[in-house]
Amino acid sequence: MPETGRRSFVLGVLGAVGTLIALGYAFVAERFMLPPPESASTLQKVGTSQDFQPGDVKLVVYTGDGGFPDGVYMVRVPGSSALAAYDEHCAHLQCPVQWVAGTQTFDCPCHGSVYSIQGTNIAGPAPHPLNYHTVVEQNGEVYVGGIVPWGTPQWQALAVKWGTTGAWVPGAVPGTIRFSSKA
Amino acid sequence: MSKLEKGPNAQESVPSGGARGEEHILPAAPNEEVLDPQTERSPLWKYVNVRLGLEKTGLKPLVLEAMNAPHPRFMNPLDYMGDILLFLFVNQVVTGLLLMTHYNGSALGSPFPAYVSTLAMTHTWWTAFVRDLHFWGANAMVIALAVHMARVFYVGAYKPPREFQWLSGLILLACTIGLALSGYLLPWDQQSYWATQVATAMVKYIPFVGHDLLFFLRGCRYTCASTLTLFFAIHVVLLPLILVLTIGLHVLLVIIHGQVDVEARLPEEYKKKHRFGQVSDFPKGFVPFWPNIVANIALYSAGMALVLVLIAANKAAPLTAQANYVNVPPAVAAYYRPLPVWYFLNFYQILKIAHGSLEDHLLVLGLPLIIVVALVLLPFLDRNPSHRAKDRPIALTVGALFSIGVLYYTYAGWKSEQPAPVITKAILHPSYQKNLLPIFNTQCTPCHTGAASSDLANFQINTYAGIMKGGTLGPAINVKDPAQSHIILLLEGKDPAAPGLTMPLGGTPLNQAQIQTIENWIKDGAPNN
Ligand code: FES
Repeated sequence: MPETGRRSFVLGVLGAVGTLIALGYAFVAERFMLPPPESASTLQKVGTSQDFQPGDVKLVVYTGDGGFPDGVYMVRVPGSSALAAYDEHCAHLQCPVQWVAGTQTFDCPCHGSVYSIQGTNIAGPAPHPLNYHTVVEQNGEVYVGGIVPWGTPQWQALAVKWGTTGAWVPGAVPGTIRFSSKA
Repeated sequence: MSKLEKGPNAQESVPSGGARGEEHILPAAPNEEVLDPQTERSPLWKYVNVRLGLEKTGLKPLVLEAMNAPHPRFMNPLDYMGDILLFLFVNQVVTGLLLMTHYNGSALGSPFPAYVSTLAMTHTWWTAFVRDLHFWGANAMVIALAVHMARVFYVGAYKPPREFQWLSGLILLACTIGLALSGYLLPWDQQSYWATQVATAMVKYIPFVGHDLLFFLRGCRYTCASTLTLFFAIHVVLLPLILVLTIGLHVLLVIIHGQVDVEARLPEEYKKKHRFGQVSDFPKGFVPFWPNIVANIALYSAGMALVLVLIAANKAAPLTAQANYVNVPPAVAAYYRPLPVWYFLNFYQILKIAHGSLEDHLLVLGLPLIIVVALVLLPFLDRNPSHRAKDRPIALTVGALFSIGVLYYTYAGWKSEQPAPVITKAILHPSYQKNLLPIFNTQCTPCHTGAASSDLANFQINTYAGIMKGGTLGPAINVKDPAQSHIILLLEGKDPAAPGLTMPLGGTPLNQAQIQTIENWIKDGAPNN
């Protein structure tokens, strides 16, 4: 009995220590792989307040801390003086969306998703509105910051601030449209 | 000798369940000659036998079975698909190793070294040729794999005892798709960048871990330099390694179980008498694997090689402009419209069907999941033991429907990307959206885009408002006298306001039916229909 008892005790300790070490690594790996808080990325000047007039939709290029340029649509949201910034990547499979002045929509060339000027998905497979970027307007200068992904509290806060939530009017855009988003 | 026979004999005492395949290892008569005497006499065999311990380990029968397995003298060419695939894989390895000596897999710096080094390959004939061989070889592999799978499905070669052959084949399929996908990114041109962006973005649909997994796969939120590094490693190390190991298993299983349709054609008498690894009297019309079938494989491979060489020598692998992360017109000069590689056109087309989140998730996540699960479970779900087409109406119907679906959506996806449909007969009451926009969008927008910088003649033809407004010549449309509209006169090249000018400038003129269609639309009052 003492022989087997000791053996199972040693095995038990080994198992426990092994599990602990494995869990430790798993925890470190999990933390390590967490994406950095991108909305905290460095601000970059993209123009002056004059450059963005009401109703304007302009593409600027924001280069994040990773050194990779990202297209950002600067939008003076109609009916609100707020300056919004939408990430150019489609909420579906991340093709670059294009501003089409004729229909006042952002159209995706890949699978035909369409977004309103509010950034809301109004047609096609896109599962949610466009992602945002942080914007700072100070002393007549406009700065853009890192990405604010849809579905985060920060995104919700920006949508409220910019007046870009739920502003979509059924029938404003031709074609079959089904509205589907949490925003 | 006796050592070898002990193996099968020892198992004799265990009553066999009579399962398929076990009939091969029925006991040998004690004094029967097991080895092919000719083989055994060859000095090479003696040398290898001792070095590899074939006799000591009991692997001898395996080698002998592989060499001597009887095959019908004339086999269905489709049964050589696996061998052709093996040849194509060797082609990929050889050309791939060569490409690595010229390729610089980095996307840091401007212009991107990965792109520049690929572009440089196109500058001399031999480097371009090797790259084309690699590119067309990859395409050929996808086709050969599809044919091989269809054939295996048709002859029911996934049924017991060959389930592991099917499963290892699925691993090979996954590796091949992975290699195609990762290899596609390496040139770091527009095409590869955006195809990878879209393909990898599907990972984010996986519940709970999707977003983190996507970040892990790319090393950034969107495809970036880290993605290239990782994909290069995946393409040249990880997947080839898994592929080689799995090919070994796959081929080993084929040796052990033989091919289904060979088995079906072997006389019952022979099968009863034959013991694994033993050379029995060959049935009439049958030849051994070595050298006869090997010679056939060599011939088929040579044929495949010839086709590859001809294609590679005549058709260059595509290379678009270097990757552009922003890629939005008109901010970007070399705008590239993202398009999938041809064998993903089907899925690409299906994705367009969805409206909104739920349907989208069902398609992006649900559809591939169903297909993968169905493929993995196939040998276990299909309990019908028959290999004959007549006895398998359900399986073959399902397979046929699936194939038709894949082909149809591939075609539809391809068609959706074709330039404006050529109108050969004027349409009396054309629709602006359906009939005219496709013409305007392909023939006129390169210059009259509605974008300030490239908006020639201050004319935006790609929006209804723009075409109604007209350009520097005034209104483009004259509803009162349609034939005198500037747009019609310019297309015909007889506008007095712009002598000698025919639109599209520098392009192929529209045909009469197309011009007439536009005129008919103006006659209708130029409605926005
Ligand atoms: S990526 Fe935009 S619709 Fe699919």
